Amino acid sequence: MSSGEVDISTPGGAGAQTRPRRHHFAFGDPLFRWFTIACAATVALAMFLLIGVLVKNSWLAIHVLGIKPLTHVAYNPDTNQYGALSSLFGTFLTTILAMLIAVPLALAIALLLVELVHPLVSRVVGTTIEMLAAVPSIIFGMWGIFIVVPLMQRHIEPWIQATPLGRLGIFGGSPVGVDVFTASIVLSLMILPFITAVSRDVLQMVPKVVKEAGYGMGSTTYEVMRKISMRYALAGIAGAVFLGLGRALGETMAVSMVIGANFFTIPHSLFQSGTTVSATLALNFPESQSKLETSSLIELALILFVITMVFQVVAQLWLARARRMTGSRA
Amino acid sequence: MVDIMDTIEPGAESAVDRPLPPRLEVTPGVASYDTPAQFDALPSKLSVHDLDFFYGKEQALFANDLEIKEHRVTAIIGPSGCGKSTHLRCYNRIYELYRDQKAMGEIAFDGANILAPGTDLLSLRRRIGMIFQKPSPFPMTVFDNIAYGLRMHFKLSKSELSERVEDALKRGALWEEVKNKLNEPGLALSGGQQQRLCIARAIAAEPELILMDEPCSAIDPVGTAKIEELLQELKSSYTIVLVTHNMQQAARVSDYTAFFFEGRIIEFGATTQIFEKPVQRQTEEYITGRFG
Ligand SMILES: Nc1ncnc2c1ncn2[C@@H]1O[C@H](COP(=O)(O)OP(=O)(O)OP(=O)(O)O)[C@@H](O)[C@H]1O
Ligand SMILES: [Mg+2]
Repeated sequence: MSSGEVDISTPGGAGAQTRPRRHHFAFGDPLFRWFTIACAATVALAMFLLIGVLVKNSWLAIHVLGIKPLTHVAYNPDTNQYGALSSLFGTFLTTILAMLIAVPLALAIALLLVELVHPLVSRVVGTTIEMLAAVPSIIFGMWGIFIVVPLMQRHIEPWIQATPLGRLGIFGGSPVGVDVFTASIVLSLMILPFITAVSRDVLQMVPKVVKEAGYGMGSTTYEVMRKISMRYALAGIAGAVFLGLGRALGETMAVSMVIGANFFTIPHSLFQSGTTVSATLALNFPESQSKLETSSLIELALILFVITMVFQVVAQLWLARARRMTGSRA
Repeated sequence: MVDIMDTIEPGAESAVDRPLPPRLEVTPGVASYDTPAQFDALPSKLSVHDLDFFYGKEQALFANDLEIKEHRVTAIIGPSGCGKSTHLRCYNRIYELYRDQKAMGEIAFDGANILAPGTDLLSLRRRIGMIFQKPSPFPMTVFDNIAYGLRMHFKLSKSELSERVEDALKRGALWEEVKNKLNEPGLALSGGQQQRLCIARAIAAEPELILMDEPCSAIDPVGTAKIEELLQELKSSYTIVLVTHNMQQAARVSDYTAFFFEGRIIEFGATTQIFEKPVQRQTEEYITGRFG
C-alpha cells in the first residue's frame, strides 16, 4: 500500500479558493447600482418634500398661534381655541396601552408557535394570524363598534370597577364603552397579528445549531428562548415592534370609531371618551371653516410627524447599539 | 502496511507550520498504546450497548456497541452519512429536540443508563459538553458566552465569575487573543476563535465528557492546529469523543478510533492499530482512501 493513495483534505478542508467572478456583469452592475441609488434618493426626496409641504401649509398657524397649541388642551375653532394636547395625549396614551398589551402577547404567541406547539398547529395558527394582519382597519372598527364597545360597556368595564382596581381613579366614571380603554384594546388587536407574524418569522430564522448549543449546555426551553432565541432575533423583533408602533400611532379609522372622538379633553379615566391626532384630523379637516383652522390641523399633523421621527431615530440608535452588543445580524 | 506518518500529506503540515505532536505523550503516566489488557482495565466513561436510532421509520444506527474510555480521546470516523453525528447526538440526548427521532438500546454514563426515562437531562447536559461543526457562539459578549453555563449551574460571586471565565478562556487557549475583547460580541471573533470560544464555554461548565462533531471542518488550517493542540492538553482532564472526516486529525489526536459504515460500527480499536493494521477490509479501504 503506498501512502500516496490517501486523499483527504488538509485540516479544515481549506482548498484552493475560487476566484470571484466579477467580470460577468461588468455592464449590469453599475447600471443596477445607479438604479438602486436613484430609488433610495427618491425615498429621501419624498420624505423632505413631505416635511416641506407640512411646514408650508401650517406656516399660517405657526405664525399666528406660535406654540399655543402645545400648551392648550381644548380644540374649538369657533372660540378660537386650537389646543393640540388633547389629541396628542390621546394618541400617545392609546398607543402606549396598545403596545403594552400587544407586544408581550405577540412575543408569547410567536415563541409558542416556533418552539412549543406541534408543527401542524403552528402552521394553521400562523396562517390565520397572517390573514388577520391583512384585515383592513375599517373592519376592525366595525367589529369594535358592534362587539367590543357593548361588551366593554356592559360587562368588562363594570366588572373591572367591581374589583379593587375600580377604586383607582383611572378606572372611574360611568362606563360608556366608546372610550380610551376600548380604543386601546381594539388598537392592540390590530397590531398584534403583524407583530406576531414578523416575530415568528425572525424567531424561525434562529439557527438550529445555536439553539442546540443552548440545550447542550443544559438550558431549559425557557432559558433557550429568553437568553438565546430572543436575543438572536432581537433586531428583527424590534423592527416589528417599531412598525407596529408606527401603525398604532397613525391608525385612524378604527380608533375614531371607538374612542368617542371630538372629545377634546385630557381624560381622567380610561373609561372616558377622548380623541387622537388622526381622529381629529379625519373628522375636522373636511369641515374646516377657515384657513387658520386648516392650517392648525396641518400643524397638528406636523407635530405628530416630528415626534414620531425623533422617536424613530432614538429607537434606531438604540437598536444599532443592541445589535452591536449581541453581534446579531438578524 | 500504512505508516501513520506516511498518511499525512506534506501540504497539510506545512500550512500548519507545526511538527506532529507526539501522540499521547502529553498525558503523563499513560502508556501511548494501551494493550488489550490495559484497555479492558481502563474505566469506561460511557459504554454504548446495542444502540439503534430512528429518524421516523428510517433506521440510521444499527446495534452500535462502543466503549468510551476515561481520559482518552476517541475518534469516530467514517464516510459521510454513516451515522457519526447521529451516534454522538445520542450521548446527550440532544436528538430529543426533534419529535420523530428515537434512540433504543443502552448508553451507560458512569454506569447509569441515560436513555432510561427519568434521566435528568439538564444535569446530564451539564456533565456532557458538546461542540458542533459550525461555531455556535451565543448572541452575547465573549464574557457572557463563557459565563452562560456558569451562571446557570453555579452560584458565583462577581469576582469568582470573572476568575472562572478567565480560567476557561485560558484553558480554551483563547485568553491572550480576547482578553481585551471580553465585552465585544462573540460573533465578532474569527471562525477559529469562535470555535475555541465554544470549547471554552463548554469547559467552563466543567463537563466530564466533551463531544465534538467535526469541530475543525469550518476552520482554516492554523485555527485547526490550535484546536488540535488544545485537544492534546484537554485530554488529561476530560474524556473526549471526536467525530472527524480528517484522517490525519484522528491519527494525530486520538487514542482510540471507531470506524462507522452505514450505521454500523465496523471496527473499533486503538488508533495505531486501526491505522496500521486494520482488521476489516472496509476499514482498510476507507483509511487508504479507496472509498468514502
Ligand atoms: N434530521 C434527519 N432526518 C432524517 N434523516 C436524517 C436526519 N439527519 C441525518 N439523517 C440520515 O441519517 C444518516 C446518518 O446521518 P449523520 O448525519 O449521522 O451522518 P454523518 O456520519 O454525521 O455524516 P457527515 O459526515 O456528513 O456529517 C444519513 O443517512 C442521513 O441521511
Ligand atoms: Mg455529521
